[in-house]
Amino acid sequence: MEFLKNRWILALVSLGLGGAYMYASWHKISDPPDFAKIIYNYRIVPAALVNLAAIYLPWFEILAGLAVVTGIGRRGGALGLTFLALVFIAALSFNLYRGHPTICGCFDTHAQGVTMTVEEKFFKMKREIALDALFAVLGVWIFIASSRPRQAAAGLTLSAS
Amino acid sequence: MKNPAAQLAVLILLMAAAGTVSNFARSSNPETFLRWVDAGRYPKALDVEPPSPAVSSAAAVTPAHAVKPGPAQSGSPSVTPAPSAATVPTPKPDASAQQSSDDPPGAAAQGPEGASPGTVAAPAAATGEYVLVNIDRAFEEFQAGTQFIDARRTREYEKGHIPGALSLSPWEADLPDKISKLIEDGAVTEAPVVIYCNDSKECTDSKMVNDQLKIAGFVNILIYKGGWPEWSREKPKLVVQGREPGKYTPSPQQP
Repeated sequence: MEFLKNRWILALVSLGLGGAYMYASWHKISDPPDFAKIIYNYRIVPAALVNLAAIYLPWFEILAGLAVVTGIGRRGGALGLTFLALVFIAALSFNLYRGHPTICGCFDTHAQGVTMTVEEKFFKMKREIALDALFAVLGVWIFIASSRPRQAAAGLTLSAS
Repeated sequence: MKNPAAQLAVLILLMAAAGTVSNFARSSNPETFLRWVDAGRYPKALDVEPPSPAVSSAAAVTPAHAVKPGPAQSGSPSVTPAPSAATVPTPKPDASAQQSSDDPPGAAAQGPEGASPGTVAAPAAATGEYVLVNIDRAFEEFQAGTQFIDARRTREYEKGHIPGALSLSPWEADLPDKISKLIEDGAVTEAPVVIYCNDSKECTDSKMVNDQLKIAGFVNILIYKGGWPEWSREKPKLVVQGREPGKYTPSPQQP
């Protein structure tokens, strides 16, 4: 399991996770009303918070993603992205449990979900939960692996050679 | 800064600054600007509606025209008896109006799959109530010159809409201004209006506009359940593009 602490693998995983969140945030930042519509359709967020969440949440995604990718404040970014993934898992699971089909809005716009059937939405919700679980695991991994002193991580490479 | 909690705090501060600045920067564009707190627009933010097939089946077997979700049922539609069609101030100068009033009750709420002629539905006066109509009824209203309201986003409206329809998206910040202008321009609140959107399952956007119009005093609102997906498929010649509502010129060749 030592390879999990290799800084190159860590950098690659950070790029993947941070990049995924940055990519996911872009359409939300460019069109906040569309994201507000997605949040509203979760039927979890109180009315007064729908717009605020739509305005601020995508910026947290992109900034935390940027922190993870660049390594500037990586542990804080990983912590934030892990928390977001857990929130998404909870929201999707709750709606799945009560039988309320919605679209995740993670990587797609609201309009893309309009043509989907209820069954397709449920299937996609399960898939998104699995993806968010993976993101949460990667976030924890990055958080833990980044906590090691840089020299120790580099030493792994040296000892391998 | 090595402390992850401190890093997280910095990220949150940056988020607050970036979100605030970006939304302020959009304040001149109502299509992408969000009001900071707009709770009044989301009265059902925590209500879960049942899947639409349940609405259709309930309406199909119950002798009624209007489907209304009462607050006690937390959004679940109930079917209410409708008064006689003659009491509804719907302009129907042609013979189809008489035919419609003779249709079996419940036809209006069957949705597009029902494919039965739409009937005159009772006005749903209270906020939260709505009347669903199918494409036949929507087309009758269209031919009668009823005002149509497009509840989709403006950019979708520009790509194509029903001729004469006004763009009123519940997700865009200028909705109250547009409704005020509609009334200032002389819209009769007792006259019927037909709302449609992009979602022919839940009609969420149409229902949100319905609520806002009810608050503004409109009393005879119909929601065209099939909405834009069905209309653009079934009436492809009755579509116009651009920001302007456009006009409909009836002709014998029109579908």
